[in-house]
This record gives sequence, structure tokens and C-alpha cells, in this order.
Amino acid sequence: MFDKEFTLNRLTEVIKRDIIPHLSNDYSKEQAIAMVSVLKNVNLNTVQNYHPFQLVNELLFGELNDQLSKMAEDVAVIGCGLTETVQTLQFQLQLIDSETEIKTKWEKLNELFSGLITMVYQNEAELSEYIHHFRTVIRKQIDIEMELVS
Amino acid sequence: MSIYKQEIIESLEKYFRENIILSKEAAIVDFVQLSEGWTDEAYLFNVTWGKNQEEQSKGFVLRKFKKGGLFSDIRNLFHQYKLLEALSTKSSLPVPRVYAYEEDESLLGSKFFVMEKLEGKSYVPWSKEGRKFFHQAAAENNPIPYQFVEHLADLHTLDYQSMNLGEWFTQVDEKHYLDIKIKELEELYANYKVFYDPVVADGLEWLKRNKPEPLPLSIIHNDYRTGNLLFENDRITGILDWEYAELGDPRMDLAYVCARANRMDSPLLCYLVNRDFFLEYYQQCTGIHFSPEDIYYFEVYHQVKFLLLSLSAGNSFFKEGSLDLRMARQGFRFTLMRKMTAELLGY
Repeated sequence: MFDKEFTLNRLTEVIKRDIIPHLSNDYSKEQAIAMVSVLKNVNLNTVQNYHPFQLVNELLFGELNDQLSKMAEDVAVIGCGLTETVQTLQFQLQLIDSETEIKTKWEKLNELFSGLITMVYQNEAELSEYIHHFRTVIRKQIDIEMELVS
Repeated sequence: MSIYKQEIIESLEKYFRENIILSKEAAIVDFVQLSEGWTDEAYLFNVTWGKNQEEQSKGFVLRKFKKGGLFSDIRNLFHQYKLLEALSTKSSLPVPRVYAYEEDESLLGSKFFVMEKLEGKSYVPWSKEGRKFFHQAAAENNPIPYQFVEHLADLHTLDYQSMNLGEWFTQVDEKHYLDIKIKELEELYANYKVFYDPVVADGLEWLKRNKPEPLPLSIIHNDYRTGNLLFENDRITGILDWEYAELGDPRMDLAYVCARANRMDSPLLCYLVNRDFFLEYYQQCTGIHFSPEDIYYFEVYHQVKFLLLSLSAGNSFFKEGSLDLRMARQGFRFTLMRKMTAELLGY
């Protein structure tokens, strides 16, 4: 979720600042100093895991594209006066799809999805069926992203 | 001993001599920083004064406002001090007596107050030691689960209007209380948002549209859980960490005790009490009526807040430069908190 290099660098700072000066055992101190070096090398020998973000991007783009197309023709949506809003969201979605940076695309898709959820809630009486569907999409998204949590 | 720690001791010694003990012989001994809090810093120490056979000693706790701590923009140390002053003198609740509040940040780097050290020991509920202690405390015939409910019931049924807390507690109309709380969550989201999140959007909108009927407000603790209590043998000897206390809906505290994040894998609320016992005995003690749906609503509220807490912690580490690794750990837990929110909302 957060940047690997930034996290490991901060971790190194904490070991140097908050841990090493307070160790009284020489062996522990040597281990902690070695840990700093190992962390630097772990950083250089590994890459950020973007795979879950890629999967979520595919999921969200496909689902949002389908749902917005459905909404564009839904009389309940039209009755709520949301036709133009839905067309704008469809346009924004296509723009997002051209984004090449994986994490930026993931953030933009989440922003659009969040806005769509808020819009549907504001017309909950007419559009409640969409909330149910959006929740199944969120659930799939979380299941994918749990790969990033230990 | 670090220079920083020595500086605190020297400043504090001078402060005690001039403001609390009023004795030139007052000396601070056994000074230790308690495990650094997520919100404020706390220090434990003894003060000795007098000579030879007349020498006296007393334990104190210093609570110092932590700039940049979690939710530091919505906490007020002075309100906490005034509330403790009122509760320790006008109620039978086991809360520490307070001695002085200091606004002058030049003394210790930020504002602080001094309170008495209560007897007893606190436990991290999910630690090995904590699990063992609460397992014994939860056993049949142990009075601790009863006291756990009774103290909360006593707090919620206090006649706060006679305690003259009005000027320190924001007076809120019970009809608008939840609107204000949801607005606070939205502001936290706006302040700490690292990215837009559909689960937060869903949670906030759900809260706006499913509000239960209001109840008369009470003084609520807002962080009432076993980890914030002191115990000695089979007795609760202290209720600590009042920084989020406010005039609020008592169901807020009930749902907080019920929250999954406060029990995780334990079948017992806060690793101590059975859910049915807790809610039924509380109703019996207070006469306050509520439905399971009400408690569910407030559980969702807390879960969304836990989610935002993870976001706030992540923001603190990844954007504001905090070197507190607990913030990073909590930030990485954001997805787990989203999962818990989704499950609570039924998907």
C-alpha cells in the first residue's frame, strides 16, 4: 500500500535513532547495525508489489464501465436527473483508462468509484439496487488487496 | 539518562516546589516515561519532601500534550483536566485527583497537567499477560465484569448539569449530536485522506441515512475498554485516558465496548465480558433503553472511525514525517480495517 523504499528508509532511521543507542549488549548492537545494512539490500533486491493494484484496476474499470452504461439507460437514473452526471463519469472513466502509472490509475478509479457511491446514496430511494451491486465490487476489491496485508 | 529527560525532571522539580508541594526540599525520584501514548505523553514519578522522620513521598503522573499525536487537532487537554477535577471530587468513580494544569509551553515543551498516581496495574488485553489476567477476571463469581458495567453505568447516570461542566463541555442538542459526530468523521477523512476510498464513502453515507432516535446525552468516556483501566486483585482501581470524553450519546460507549476491534478473536467483549450480560446488566443498572439495531449503528460508527484512525496514522508516518513505527503499522492495517468495515456492513 505504501512505498517500499520510503518505508525501509524510515525503518533504518528508527533503528539508528531509537534502537541502537539504547542497546547495552554488544551482540545486539552488532545485529541491529547489520539489520540496517540488510534492509538497504532488501530494498535494492526487491520490487514493489503492484500486482494487486493491477488486478483492482482491471476489476474497477470493467465494473464501473458496465454499471455506468447500465445507468445511462436506466429510467430511474434519468428520473433523478442524473443523465449528464453519468455521461461525465463515463468520460472521466475513459480518461482514467489511458493513465499508464498503475498506482495513479488505482487512486483515480477509487476516487471515481467513491463519488459514484455518494451520488447513488443521495438518491437512495430510487437507486438502492446499485448500492448492493457496488458492495459486491468493493468486496472483490478488498479480497484482492488483502494480499498486501500480513 | 538522556539530557531531555533530565531537563524535564529539573523543570518539574522547580514546578512542584513552587506550585504543588510548596517545599524547597521537594525532589523527584523514580521518574519513568510510561509506554509512549498514541495521543499524549505520560510520566510516572514519586515526589519526596520533608526531612528525616518527617519525610513524605507521593506518586504522581504527568500528562503532557503530544503535538502531532493522533487526532491532536480535536483533543483539548484543559477539558480533560477540568473533567477529571469534577469526576474525582463529585463522583465515586475511580479517577485520579488532579493537582495543576499548566498552559505555559516553555516549561516542558507543551501544556501539561499533574494528577495523582492511582494504585493498580494496567494490562494490554491482547498480550500474553493480559489474556491470562482477563481470562481469570472473566471467571464466574469474579466481581470485575460487574464493576466494569457498574462504572460505565455510574458515569452515564451522573447528573452532569449539577457539576457545572457546561463551560468546559460543548453543550450539544441531542437531536443534532449524531450529525455533529458524522461531520467530525468527514472532516477527519478530508484532513487525513491519502486517497479516496469506496468503503469510507459507503460507511459515511450509511451512517447519515440510518441514524437511530436520539437519547438524552450523558458524560461519555469514548475510549472505555479494559486496556484503559487499572486493576488490583479483584477490583478496578482506576479509569484512565479521558482525552476523548465528551457530552454524548451513552450508546456510543456501549458500542465501543462491543466493537470487534476491541476484542478481535476473543468471544468476550474487551476480552472480559459476555455481550448479553454486558448489555442486559447495563440496562438494569441505568434504566436506559436501546435496541440491538441502535448498538449496531454505533458499532458501524466506531468501525468507520477505526478506519479513519488507520488513515490518520498512515498519514502521520508517510506524509508528516513521524518516526513512530506504530503509526506505520497502523497505516498498513488500513486494508484490514476496510475488510472489517465491509463485513460489519454485511458484505
